[in-house]
Amino acid sequence: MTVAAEAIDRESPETLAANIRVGARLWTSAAAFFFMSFVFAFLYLKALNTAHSFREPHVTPPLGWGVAILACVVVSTALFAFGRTSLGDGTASRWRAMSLGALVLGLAVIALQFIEYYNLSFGATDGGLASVFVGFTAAFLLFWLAAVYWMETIWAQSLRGERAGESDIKDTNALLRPNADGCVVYLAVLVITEIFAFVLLYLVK
Amino acid sequence: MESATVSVQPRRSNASAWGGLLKTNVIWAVVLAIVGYIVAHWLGGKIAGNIAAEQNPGGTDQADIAILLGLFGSIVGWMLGLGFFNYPLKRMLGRPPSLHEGGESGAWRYFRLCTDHKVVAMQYLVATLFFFFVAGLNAMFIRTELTSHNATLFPSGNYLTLVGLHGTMMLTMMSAGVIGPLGNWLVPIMIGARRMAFPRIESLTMWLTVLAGFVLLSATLLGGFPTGWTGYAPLADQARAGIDSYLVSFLLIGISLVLVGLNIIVTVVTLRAPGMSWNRLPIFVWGMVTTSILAVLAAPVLAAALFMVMCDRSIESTFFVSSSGGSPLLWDELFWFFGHPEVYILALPGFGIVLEILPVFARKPLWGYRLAVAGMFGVALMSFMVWQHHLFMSGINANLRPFYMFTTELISIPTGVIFLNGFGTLWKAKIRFTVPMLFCTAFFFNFLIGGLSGVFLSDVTSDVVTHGSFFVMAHFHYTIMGGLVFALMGGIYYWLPKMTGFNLNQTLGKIHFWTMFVFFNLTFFPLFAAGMLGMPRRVSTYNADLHTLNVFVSIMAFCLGLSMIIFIVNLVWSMVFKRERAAENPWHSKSLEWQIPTPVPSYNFEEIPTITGDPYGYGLPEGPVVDFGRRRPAVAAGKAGA
Repeated sequence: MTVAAEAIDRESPETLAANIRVGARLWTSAAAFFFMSFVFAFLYLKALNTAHSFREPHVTPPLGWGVAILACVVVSTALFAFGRTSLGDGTASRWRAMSLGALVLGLAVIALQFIEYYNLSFGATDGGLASVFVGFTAAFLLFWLAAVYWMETIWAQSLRGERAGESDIKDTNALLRPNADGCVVYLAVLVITEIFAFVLLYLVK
Repeated sequence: MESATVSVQPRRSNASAWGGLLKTNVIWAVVLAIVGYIVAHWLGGKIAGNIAAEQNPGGTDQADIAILLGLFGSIVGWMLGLGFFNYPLKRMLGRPPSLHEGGESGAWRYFRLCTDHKVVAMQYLVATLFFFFVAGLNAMFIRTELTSHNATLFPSGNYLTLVGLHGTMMLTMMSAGVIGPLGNWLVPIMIGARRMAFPRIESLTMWLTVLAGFVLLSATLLGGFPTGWTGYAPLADQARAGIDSYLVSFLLIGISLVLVGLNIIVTVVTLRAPGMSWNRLPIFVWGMVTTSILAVLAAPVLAAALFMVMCDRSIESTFFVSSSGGSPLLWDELFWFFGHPEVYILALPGFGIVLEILPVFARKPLWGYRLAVAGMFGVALMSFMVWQHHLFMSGINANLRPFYMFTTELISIPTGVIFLNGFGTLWKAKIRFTVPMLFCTAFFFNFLIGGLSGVFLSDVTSDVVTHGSFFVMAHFHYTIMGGLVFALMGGIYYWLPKMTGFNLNQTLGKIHFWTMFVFFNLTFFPLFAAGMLGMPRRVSTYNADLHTLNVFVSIMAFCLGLSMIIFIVNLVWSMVFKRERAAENPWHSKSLEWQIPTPVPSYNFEEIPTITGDPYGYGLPEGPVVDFGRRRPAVAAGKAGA
């Protein structure tokens, strides 16, 4: 059976938007379960405290860097979340400024994390807390990198605009807002994760 | 926005065979994976060397950093060669989203990134069957070794690697064994959709699975691994570099499982055709949905645990080192939080297949449809509450044991519901014992034995005796091979004519079934006795008293292997040589996939159909189950018969 080209796929953008919406929530669920493993590892190893080596005396994560990273994560997410409310409502300059700010701060998170690693007074070998610290923050960095990539694609597409015949989907701009909404859900879970990480790794004694 | 529409045009490829060779494809993927490994390994050596020299003289395991980086480099090369970075890079440059890749016709589409769900499913089928047979070959080697009560063919380390390769490959590939080929092929069609929600991700999961298989095999080049499929710490921390392959391979499977599960859930939630209410969703699709929920939630925990082992092996963290603030039991907790739902990732698709097939050959409606769905969700939910029964012998708090014994025994209730659905459907039915039906009935027989023997393992006192013995081994082979693999075979015999357009030989199919059924039981049932008599798993030597029993089991296992050869002969004979055209609805099914032409058109449906009836309404007053609108395919719903 030959399928007539004009009859193929007449899906509404709402369907594609729903895909993004549901997909983003599932992905964030998976990410949450991933990080819950590290929370469990922290609590489990702290409770066991094998060989009294969970927290070696010199293992003190640098609070200043931790605050800076947390602040950048929160502000970056907030900027992107607020910026996306003006996406497509005619106030493009506000969206551009806020999303660019979110991106810059997103990249700053990555830079700050590397600087923190460089200035750590301990290594991953120095007990349970040190292991969880390095593992948790490194894993967070990978997920944050994915978030920055996601933000960047939305930002770049919104700057470039729709050009005729470029995609096999008509009205791709209609998908920008749901895409940004999905990204915000993911960012929100990362913020919650980072707050958890901050409390456990920097504050809990 | 309301008036806007999405129009997807099929892209016709003008590429010749040679043109296809020059584009991204699996050949480039292999080449770039090798290059990626070499470059990243070299880089890893440099990094590790610097760390060792500057910070931790003599302390850093340089080889692990280099090998892990090398393996990740090969992943990057593999994806680059297949073209998986093209679209993400375009998106970074602000290009709008699209649904399709170019060049989706012609034979090359089977060797590259393709966004047609039917092509991806066939890729999955070939890949998982290939690795299934590789793992099966390992099983033959294991049984050959066990024909002697002393280690003769393989040194103990190599034997452990064989066991590990067999177990890991079977578990990982069979996790993808149904959800990959049948899930990807059937779910969109069964719900009246033209595609999966995220076609590129669908393709990515397939190619990651293939790479995972080869990465796992690379363990043999790196000294093997001694941990079996469970990767227990601290052995995993201490093992040779082969364990790095295990870690990366399992990580790839974990990522693949999350993504395939996500894709299936989104597809079912958003792309159902009009009239395909939740109450009309085929039971196979429910099986896929519940499996997907487990995959999305359980596999990330595995990924995190694997990440921790990688940290231990490369940067020398101490997650699992008890002398430095870690604990090997942490691995047990995290691994089995994934590992037990994993058992149901294997079982639930089997439930879905048999409950889908039974009504067709019983010519009766599925008994207790809603109960079956509830049973599947019950199994899925409870599978997260039982994992500690794997730790009964690992020194957990004794007060925890009764709770986990109780929850483990409780899970037999929703599982029993599935049996009730099956037998309720078969009750007073005029059963047609076709090859798929034979496999489905055998599923119940085998899974019953697997389930009943599981009660012994859930019970703390009897688990103390049977733990780590061949009893456990016999139990999970009855559930996984006796359950999933029999159901999968039933599914293949049932759906392959629709998937390929060619019939499988039914006589060879029946010979395959009977030899597989008889020799499967003769192989694994005696192993319950071997276990009760104290024969341990993962050890190539055993008490001389058990020699005769083991020789018998080995001979039966070889015969079981031969039954699989019959399956392969049937596949090759029917698909390559005889190529007898399949009828469009040979089983007279009422399900949607059988109401469309064979072979299924590129976009499944010219118009999205409207579902108007119950797919299991056999024996009920006949009415159309689907309305195809203006373009009605050759096979109409009314012909489905009752």
